[in-house]
Amino acid sequence: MNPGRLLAEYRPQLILVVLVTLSLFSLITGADSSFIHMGLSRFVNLSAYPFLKLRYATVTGVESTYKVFADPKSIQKENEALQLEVASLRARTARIKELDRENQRLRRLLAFQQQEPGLSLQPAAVLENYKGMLRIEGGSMQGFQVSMGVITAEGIVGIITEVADFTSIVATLHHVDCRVGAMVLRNRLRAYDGVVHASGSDFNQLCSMEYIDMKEEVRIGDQVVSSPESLFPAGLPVGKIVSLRGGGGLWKSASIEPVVNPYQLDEVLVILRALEASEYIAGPPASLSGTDVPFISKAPEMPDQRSLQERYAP
Amino acid sequence: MIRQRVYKSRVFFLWCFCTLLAAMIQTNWPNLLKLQEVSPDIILVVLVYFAIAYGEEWAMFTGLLGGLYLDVAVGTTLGHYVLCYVVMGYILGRLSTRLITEHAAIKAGAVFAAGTGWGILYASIQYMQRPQSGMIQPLITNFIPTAFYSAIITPLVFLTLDRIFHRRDYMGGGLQS
Repeated sequence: MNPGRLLAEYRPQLILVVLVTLSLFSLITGADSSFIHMGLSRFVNLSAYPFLKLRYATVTGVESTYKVFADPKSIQKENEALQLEVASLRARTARIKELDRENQRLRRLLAFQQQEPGLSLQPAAVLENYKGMLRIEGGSMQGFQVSMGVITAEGIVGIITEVADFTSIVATLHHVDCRVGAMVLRNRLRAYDGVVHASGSDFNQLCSMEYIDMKEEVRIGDQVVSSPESLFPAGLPVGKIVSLRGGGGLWKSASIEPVVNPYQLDEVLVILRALEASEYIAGPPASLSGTDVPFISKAPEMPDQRSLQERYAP
Repeated sequence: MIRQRVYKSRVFFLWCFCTLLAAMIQTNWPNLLKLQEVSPDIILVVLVYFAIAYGEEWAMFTGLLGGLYLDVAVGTTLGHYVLCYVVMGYILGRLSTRLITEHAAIKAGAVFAAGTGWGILYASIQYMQRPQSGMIQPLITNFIPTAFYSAIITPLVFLTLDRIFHRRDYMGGGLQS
């Protein structure tokens, strides 16, 4: 007999046998239907998502449109309240950003203070700035004195020129009263007078290093730092040489761009005292420490090399 | 030929739709037709309809689709519902060729018989899987009342399906599936 014809004739029985066999096999093996359920759930969720979004958008749109026409006064009130809230939130956001920046600045200052244990530094807020002068918070009551150096983590700011009880005036490197002993970092070259000073012009924010010997090699881009002869500890950044001028005689001069822009400062550090290397190891004299707390030296303990007789003699 | 093919695909989609709708009503809204804690087995009624109207193959595939849906929805072992529905679909399909009348009472009786048979099959499988659940009690308290309730709603379901499938035309010698 033709198999195709046989198949067609007994097709229902064949389907029954196949389906019953599969069902029995599934029942015997205990095939869980959860995987189909999970797959279907995922499929349904994925398929339904755009429709749910569309439904949400439609319902929201219709509701808001209806509200506009049904109750325009409440919408107007809500709008005004929201505008006020937005303004308030904007102010708060700006305040938070400002606090964040201040936090970063203070962290930088703190890190700098910890990096320089040889310097006794006092932080001070900048109250105002005018024509290269800064008024900072803190005066004689805080121990500030004329000629004390003022720095930031980036480098030298200037020198205190006037001290009141609670405020002080700082002449920055943009002011003619400020002169800082400096040298070129690359070759420790000093000018004849050994200082860097401001140009004295409000429109020129560059400093000058005058009287450099024509024979000396100075390059544009050289870093200028404080020299050991200055009021500041040696090696603090002053600025960078941006141009050179030859006078045609024995000297030449360099224009220096200060590393610190005094018009962008909010906090500075006043150098109350710079410890010498020996003091740093042994600790400062008691008269200068200013407190009764004994200074604990950071130097490693030296072995006691005295003889026993010397050690235990009455 | 093209008309026949269109007719066939239309009937196929309607069959899918009706079976899935019955399964959805049965699983998603079980309280919709619940009376005295008994719900009708709408899939079985639909299966009997297809067995009488289109033969055992359609009935078996209805059982396969509806049974799979119920297995997945209820979370039973895959094949539990499928086996019961497929067997009942085959038996009903074979019996329908011997029906001498399509009187509503005959159809309702067929549904009641199918429901009882389905219940016996289901309870047997369940008893084999979990002997502690018993077999006679669920049959008496659940499956026979369900079969009776299904038989009661049979005319309504059959009438609806007749309308959907235009079966009067078919029985009157119209296009065959």
